[in-house]
Amino acid sequence: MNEPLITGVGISDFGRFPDLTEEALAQVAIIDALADAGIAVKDVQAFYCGNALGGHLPGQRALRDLGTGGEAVYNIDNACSSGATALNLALSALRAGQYETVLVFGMDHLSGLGGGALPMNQRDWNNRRGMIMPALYAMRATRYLHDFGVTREDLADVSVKNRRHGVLNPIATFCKEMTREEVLASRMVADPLTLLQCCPAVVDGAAAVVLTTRPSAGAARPVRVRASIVQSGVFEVNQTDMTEAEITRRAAHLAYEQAGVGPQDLSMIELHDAFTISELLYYEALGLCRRGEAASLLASGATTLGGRIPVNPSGGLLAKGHPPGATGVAQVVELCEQLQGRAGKRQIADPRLGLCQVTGGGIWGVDHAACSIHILEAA
Amino acid sequence: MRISKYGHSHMANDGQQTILCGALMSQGEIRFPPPEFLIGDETATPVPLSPIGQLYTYTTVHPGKAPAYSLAMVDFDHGLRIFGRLLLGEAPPALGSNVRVVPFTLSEGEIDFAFEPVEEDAA
Repeated sequence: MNEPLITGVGISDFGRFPDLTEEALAQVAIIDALADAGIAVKDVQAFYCGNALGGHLPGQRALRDLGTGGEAVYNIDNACSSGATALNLALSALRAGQYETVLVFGMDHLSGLGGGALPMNQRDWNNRRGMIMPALYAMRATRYLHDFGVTREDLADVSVKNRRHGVLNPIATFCKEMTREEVLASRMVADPLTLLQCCPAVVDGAAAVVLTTRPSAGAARPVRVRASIVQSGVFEVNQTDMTEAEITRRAAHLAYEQAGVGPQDLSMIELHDAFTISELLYYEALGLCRRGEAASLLASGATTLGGRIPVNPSGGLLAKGHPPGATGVAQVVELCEQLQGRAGKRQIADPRLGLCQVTGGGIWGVDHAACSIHILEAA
Repeated sequence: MRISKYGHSHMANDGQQTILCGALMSQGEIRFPPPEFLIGDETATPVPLSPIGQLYTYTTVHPGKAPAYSLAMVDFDHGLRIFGRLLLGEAPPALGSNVRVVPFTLSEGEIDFAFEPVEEDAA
């Protein structure tokens, strides 16, 4: 059996589209990905749909108008890791020989939810007492600033960098370049995180990739998945270090082991920068630097486009927004476009290996409920 | 199927002040919040915690139109870290400083708890 490869990618614009639906956005990405792969929808034997907030049967709703032949549709909700988890399951089915060609897509339409932080389960112990995701990360930031002497300006610089990347990305429709001062002067959401240090709350979008073990008919060079990891949070009620992203560190260890590479081998990273502090914590969890050194790594320029290891060349969640079902797949689309040399103005020179990381949170007692990491290289 | 309600509150009053109560599980682990249900042979008994904990971290949330509120993670005995509302005064508290447990009513009207900084000379 041939190795499964990504042979087509598609992505919608990410922005506020209150007059559109998640189904329409997904169709844009799916049609793009099929065309890029050089195949028809009837060539696809199974569909894997990541969606967190759209309700029942999101995959079937998105595919209904596209002329499928009634093939299997798998709907996967793993919060913000939904799309990446869908990719992990699709790879397993391809490697098991269950299918030869599948399509993975993810989407969410937050314009329909009325704004504010992502809705969370109100039966949850913490959520009933006022927890929201920005507050959780703000508390991590408070402790990180205390423990490592990092400043609010350091946090703001993550947003400045990713927005600078995002303005080069045509699908990040409302990203604007901002200065450190503008980031710090924006409305306080959860101290020390200001509005421009939180990914935009109301963004709609979709992304899709085609994977196949058949010969590629695609427009671009195929991309190989060197590692595909999904992990879940470990239940802890004791005094853990909240400045350490345990689930990401654990998933990264497994991903590096599966790929037979280390962080020094990576050309680029797309990571889950839902908040500025997240990016700093993940530098350390992914092994880009030692504990407490993330702000120095950022300040060195190493993680900026043109640096040694650009992080979030797409602009990340801070610049693009975060429709949770789409995010994991959108990260894969960005890595593929970079590896294929078609990332336009944000193209990284000669990238060989890219890593994407996405978490999924919102329940008490675990660092995060889910984390997924993929490592990709040009085939 | 063997499933039963835990049946004890996560709060109590020791005669002088509000305290939180963990649950000693049959495996020897002390948990807070206590389990909602006990499955199979699992047992759990209430364990009163110290009325004073140490502030691990906190934030103040500014929801826009609604009033701001503060949240905290507080370290207690038995190695527990407990999340709850933080009632702040004028001065920002130092991490590691003492906070006490006080009664607090959740938005649905349920009597619950919050944390309140302890004046150092009263601690």
